[in-house]
Amino acid sequence: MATTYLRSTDGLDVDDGSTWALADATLAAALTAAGASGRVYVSQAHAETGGATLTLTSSGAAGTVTEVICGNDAAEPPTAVATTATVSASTAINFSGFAHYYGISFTSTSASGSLTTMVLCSNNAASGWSSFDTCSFTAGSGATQRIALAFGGASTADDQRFTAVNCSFKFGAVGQALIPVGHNTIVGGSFAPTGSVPTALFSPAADRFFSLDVRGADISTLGSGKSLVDVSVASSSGYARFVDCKLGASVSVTTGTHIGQGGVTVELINCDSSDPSTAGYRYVKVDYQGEVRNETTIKRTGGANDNNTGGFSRRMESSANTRFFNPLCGPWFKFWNETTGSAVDVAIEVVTDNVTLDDDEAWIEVEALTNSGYPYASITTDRAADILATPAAQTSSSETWTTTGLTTPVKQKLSTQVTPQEKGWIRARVCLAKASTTLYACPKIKSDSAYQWMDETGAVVNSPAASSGSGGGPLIGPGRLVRA
Amino acid sequence: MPITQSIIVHDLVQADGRRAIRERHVWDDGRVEFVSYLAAEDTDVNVHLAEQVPILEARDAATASLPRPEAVFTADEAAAVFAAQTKLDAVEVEKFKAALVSAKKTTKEISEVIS
Repeated sequence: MATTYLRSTDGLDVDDGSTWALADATLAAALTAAGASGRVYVSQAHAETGGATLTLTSSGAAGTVTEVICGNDAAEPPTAVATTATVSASTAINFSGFAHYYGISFTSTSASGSLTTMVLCSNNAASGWSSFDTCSFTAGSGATQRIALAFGGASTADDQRFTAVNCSFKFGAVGQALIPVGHNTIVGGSFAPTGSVPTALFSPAADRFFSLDVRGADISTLGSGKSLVDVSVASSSGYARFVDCKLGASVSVTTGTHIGQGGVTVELINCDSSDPSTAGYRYVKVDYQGEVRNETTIKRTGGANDNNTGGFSRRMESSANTRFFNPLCGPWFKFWNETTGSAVDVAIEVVTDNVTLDDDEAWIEVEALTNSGYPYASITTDRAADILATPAAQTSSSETWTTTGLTTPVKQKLSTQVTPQEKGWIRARVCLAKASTTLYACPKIKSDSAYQWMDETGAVVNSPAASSGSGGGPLIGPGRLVRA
Repeated sequence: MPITQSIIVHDLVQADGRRAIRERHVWDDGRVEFVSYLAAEDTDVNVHLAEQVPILEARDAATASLPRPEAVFTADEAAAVFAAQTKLDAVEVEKFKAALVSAKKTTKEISEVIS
């Protein structure tokens, strides 16, 4: 463990890096000198042009992370951070080990076609964590270059996490993309703020699993004809979630045909190109079973209302792949329940266009704490008893809906009864098993609830009656920036 | 593989004036792909529909030709991983490294060797 200074303008790797005067010249050498739990101070004037491939390996471990901080070299050690250090390579820049980087721009100048031009975490196919704050990553000009957020295990599942806070990702061709691998958290920052804008921003890798959480990021340069995630890559698997992000107009959430139940699921929570005060709080979930999104025209009179846009519903469109045992599941609609020991009715109002749904085609699923002495929930449903049971039509409903665009509206109520034994959340959702079918579901499931707010998981909270105090506000309101 | 049919299956004006659009594209192998987006009120969605076709076809062509992601290992790195995995002595590791270099293994092949 050591404090090491790095400055390309006058540094030499043969020096020990112990002062600015004895600074190292390259980041690779400084990482080695700093060692586990060490710190590298990078001068604001550092401008490193590496060789073909730059390999940046930290000797730190999970508990002994190496810190690489760009700071003003007017003081030793620096007393102010800076964001102007640059590191470039003519082919690739690859990171391994456990390290945190602040204020450095990494650039590949390669023109090679399909190169993986950066691997930002665990290039050695081992365990690793790469954390970047206020950094940028710029691919070369090759037509289909990729920046991999992590490498993944060559043959084993190593623990790998990529974290970026306030970072930017830049591209040199529209066919380029980011490859999410392992666990990834991106908070703030921007995608393609300058340069080329990828046709599909994230393109998962074959044979690699990923989780991706993007929050509070500016993705607004991706507009018409662009998409956030390519879900068609064979043998890819993962979950991408975007929360509170700024999008470009007309951008598509996904591109490609889902490959299967284990493929890629994408969820968009309060991300949009428009003002939520007029557009509502946008929600989209896309997976193999279909698509769910928010809807602000077809909605129940007196139904879900976020005190913003005059009401909303959730539109569910099942794919051709749904089955009795593999339905499209909507987001949870939930409320806090104080009743114990007696029955609570839970119902979701739905409408379709000329489709009368049987109980083996659509049903409500309710999760409640029905066991005493434990936080132990059970699932209650109005689904047909089993796959061989004779189906019956779900209950018809006389609720009033705005049904613009529906030729023959069919209104039904999906309902069941639970008897909670503990106070807690009651959560309900619609399961749609009938293939290639569209229904609209009203998230207001508690009749005396004043407002229904989408939380950061995409669930809709039925909030208590509004008051002059905080009781009527969102439990977890939209618009918050949360660092995972 | 070309797209053989593209149609707009859903077009509904939302509260803020934008239109919820859902396009359906059918490939010649039977795959069905949907493109959903919110269009500005005055968008010519048929133009968007037509423009999507070459974009989707180009994506498919690019995806098919892409190699799987590979890390760029140097022979030194490969030897280090090899040593850690096999517990061989330095002499054996050097032989391994020399073999990689002499065989001019690609980076992907090196990844496979040490995996």
